[in-house]
Amino acid sequence: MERSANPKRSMAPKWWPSLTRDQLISIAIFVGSLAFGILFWQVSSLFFNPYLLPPPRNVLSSAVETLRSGELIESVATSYIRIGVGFVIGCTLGVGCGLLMGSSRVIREFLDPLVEAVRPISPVAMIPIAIVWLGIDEGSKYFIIAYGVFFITLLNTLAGVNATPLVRLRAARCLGADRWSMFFRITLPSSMPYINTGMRVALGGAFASVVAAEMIAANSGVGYFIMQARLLVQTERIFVGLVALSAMGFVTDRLFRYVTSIVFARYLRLSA
Amino acid sequence: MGGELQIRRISHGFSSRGAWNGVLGAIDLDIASGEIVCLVGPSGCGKTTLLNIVAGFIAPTEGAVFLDGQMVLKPGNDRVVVFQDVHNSLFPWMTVRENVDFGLAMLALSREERQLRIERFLDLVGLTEHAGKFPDELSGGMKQRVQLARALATDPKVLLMDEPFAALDALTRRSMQREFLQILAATRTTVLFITHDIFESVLLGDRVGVMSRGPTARILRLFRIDLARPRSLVSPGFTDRMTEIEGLLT
Repeated sequence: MERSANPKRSMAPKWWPSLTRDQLISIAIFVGSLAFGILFWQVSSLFFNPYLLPPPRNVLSSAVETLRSGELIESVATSYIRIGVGFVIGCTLGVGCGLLMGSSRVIREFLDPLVEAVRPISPVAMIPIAIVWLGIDEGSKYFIIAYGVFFITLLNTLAGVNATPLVRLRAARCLGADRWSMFFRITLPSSMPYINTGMRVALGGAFASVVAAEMIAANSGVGYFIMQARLLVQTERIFVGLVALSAMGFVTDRLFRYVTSIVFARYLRLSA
Repeated sequence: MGGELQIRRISHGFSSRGAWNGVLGAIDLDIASGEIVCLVGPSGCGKTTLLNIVAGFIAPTEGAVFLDGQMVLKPGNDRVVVFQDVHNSLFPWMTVRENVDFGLAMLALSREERQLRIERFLDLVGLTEHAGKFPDELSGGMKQRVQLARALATDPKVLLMDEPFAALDALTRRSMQREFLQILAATRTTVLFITHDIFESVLLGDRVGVMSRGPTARILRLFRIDLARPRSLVSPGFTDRMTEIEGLLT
């Protein structure tokens, strides 16, 4: 920490973020880790037929090509929109049902067997019926994503409601809170860290299910892009799709954490 | 003003595997308006259970609690509790000011009245400068002061103190005890104070009730502490009282 007062710091241009030594080390390790991954890939590719494992260089040139033609951007954008719409629908319903189940014993005990009966059916297993019901257009993609997101956010919301400390509830009650205020002013804010975690986990799941849905029945999106490349045995393009998925997941997760750390800031404080 | 508390033949227990486990056995206690009554007893004797019954959090197996002649049936802001749990009793997503405001909002007071009360009680507990902070930015002693301000701001008839200073370090505890008496001198609220600290009970109480070790705890004896205030360990008769109480507890 004393290092931030180091006079040498003033040598850096103004736009350069002032970082602590620990942050610089973290960034160096992060870059080193990625470099190691790429190096490992490069070395491995020397031992395999490039049709099986294309070297990073070939994948990069293929990526540049697909970026120039707009193909990749379009696929990524399509998948993102699907994830966005499905995620919002799933979260709204999941958190809503979780709160409903958390607020009333009768509702909880009524819905619990139904939730437990349907929950083991993975989003991927729902793809065929989603196509029968909603066709191969956007509707079935939204459904698949929302379906997966729904259960994860529901269970986390319910766990959050149940984890509200008894002392906190009692404090609110003896201060004169009625049932309504108790729920919306105490239980709901108390559950926010759980809801936040549920949404973050669900977002990861949404990526997995959208790709599956796009591979099975779609004519756009990153999953479709990968599947097309496979049909034409364009291994480089398969890898472009995979790297795109990796980058999308990483960016989205960071973005999600950044946004929620601002929007939900006060609800994510320690209860200390 | 009111605040007369009558605890009438309170018994409490629970059955487990067919056997009856008594927690409290026929507790009688009258607390006059503006009086401070401390209850001391060994851990697990049921002191907090009694407080929870008075607060209305749990219903007694037998007996009843009356506040100004009205039977206590459920929690209400005429009997506000200050909890021992420093971590969970404040609302962590609310600032100090918002925590104090919570009970006032529930009372549906006017904006001006809420503002006035927040300022008055934050000033009383000496937290005016920290009004915008969140609980996780406060020390244990400051958190308990917020609890006290939050409780008193609703103008309760009875303040129920559930070992509020037990989790604080010794120095903070001493200054909190002093401040608590100063604050009460301003509000004249009736107090039921649960503690396992004999010194604390003699320092604060107009009367001290000594509870027996459970199961089926009772109040063994009620001492009137007629020592002049402010008291300290060297007040004449202070240690005699402590010795007497200790004799009953061991």
